[in-house]
Amino acid sequence: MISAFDVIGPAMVGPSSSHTAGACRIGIIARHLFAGTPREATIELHGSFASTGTGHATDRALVAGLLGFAPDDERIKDAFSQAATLGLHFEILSADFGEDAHPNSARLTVKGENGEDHSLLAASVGGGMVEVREVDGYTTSFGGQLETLLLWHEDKPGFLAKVTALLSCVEANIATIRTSRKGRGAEALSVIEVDVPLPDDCLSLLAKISPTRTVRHFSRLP
Amino acid sequence: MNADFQTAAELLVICRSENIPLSEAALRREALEQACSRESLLDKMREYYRTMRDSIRRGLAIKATSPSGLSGGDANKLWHYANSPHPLMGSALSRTMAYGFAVLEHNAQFGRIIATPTAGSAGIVPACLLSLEETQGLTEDGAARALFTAAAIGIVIGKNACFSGARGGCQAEVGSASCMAAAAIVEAMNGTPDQACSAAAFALMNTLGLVCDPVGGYVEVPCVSRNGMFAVHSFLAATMSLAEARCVIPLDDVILAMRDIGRRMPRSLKETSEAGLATTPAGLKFHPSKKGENFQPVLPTATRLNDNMSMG
Repeated sequence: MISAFDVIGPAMVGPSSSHTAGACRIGIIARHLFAGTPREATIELHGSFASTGTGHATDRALVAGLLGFAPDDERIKDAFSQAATLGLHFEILSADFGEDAHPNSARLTVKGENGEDHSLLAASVGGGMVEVREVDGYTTSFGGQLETLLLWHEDKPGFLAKVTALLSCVEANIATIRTSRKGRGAEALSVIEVDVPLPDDCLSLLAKISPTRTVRHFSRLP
Repeated sequence: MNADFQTAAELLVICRSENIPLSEAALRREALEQACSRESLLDKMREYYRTMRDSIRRGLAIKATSPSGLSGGDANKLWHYANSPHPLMGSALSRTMAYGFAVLEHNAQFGRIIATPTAGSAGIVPACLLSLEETQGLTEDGAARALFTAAAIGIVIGKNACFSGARGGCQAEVGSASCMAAAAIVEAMNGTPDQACSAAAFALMNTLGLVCDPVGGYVEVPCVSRNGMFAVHSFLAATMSLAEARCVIPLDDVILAMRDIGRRMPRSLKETSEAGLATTPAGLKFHPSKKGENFQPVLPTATRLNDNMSMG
């Protein structure tokens, strides 16, 4: 679903919607995988992100997103010095994800407080729109255009039934849902996009559904 | 009620059956999808238009060059030229160009802009709207409406092709922006939805094949001048349509042609700075890989280019 505001917008700091605003949004999504603040990040850039990323401030925008800056935040140009101040260590590498990867792709491997770590593979698909392709090695697909819920859980029968029942109780209409697992009965990740913001008590109940390990959520990206 | 549309043909069916302009079709679709009021959506577009005007104002004032040294100050020069006694083709032409330049110069200096549809093409729609405001009395409400007209066309392009220079070349960015602006101009001039779509088709068909070969990988050369020039291109396309010139290839087909050409375009000419202007002798001086001294241009060096020319 393309919104009129995907075409006209976002409000952003230059120079490139895909390489700067989109990169910043990828960083923001990576930050939302953590309960606390990201502390260490390895950022790999592929294709056009690698070859023209410096001139487009792609590197600075990804770091800015990890710091929680919105795409129109005028501090993006100073993201590296802001990272030093705010205690985020990072390294930026050039990589080749292969022919099938979108030319504007980045992989972020991030460590947070309390030893939490996550990885994210995402592409900036034009006009500031982004698509997450992998989270922690699980294949997925979401763009941060809706309220997004990420549930790490065990692959057990009835899990999604409980989750969707709870969402229906708060009248949250599900737009998309995707579960990906490491194997039958093993670890899994479900990503659910819903149309309305979820109340806090709904989120805390979701965390109690067996066998949920971790719940994260974030609202429509700025 | 289904207010969504996949193609320009579907969009025109909605407009004809409801007797509404393109902007209204986009506005109704958005109100339904986001479950919010039309007024709040128009407010947001009005706010975006103010940011656009502000980016033009700030860009016109730029005298210093950007960090790369590739741009800065030309919008200001064009503005002064527009106000000189006898500017070529009248002052509106150079003013429109100056506005397109201004947004991109501001963008290159990490300024705040509205991606329309991308940052690299963010000058075209604002330049056209401000020009209409000055020459045709377009109001702020009219501009907010015109942005929905532009969005209607942009939604169709987004669904059937793409806006990414890395996937479709410059035709996907500047071509799309110019296409959207042409339709917005026609609707603002009280043209019909069919005329607006024809203008969009004229604009896009004459940007097909445009490659993305930015010097040094920066969104500056040729992007800054291209935004100024293709804002004027939108007025040319709108003029053709308002004069009822015949549109042989409908907008949907032109969009498919744009997608097809984008797929066939070599990767080296899609925002990688591995060919074209980026690897000319003058362009290479700004190439980031120059520092590593191991960069091999994919396409002709100056010598090989001369050989080809002598053969021709």
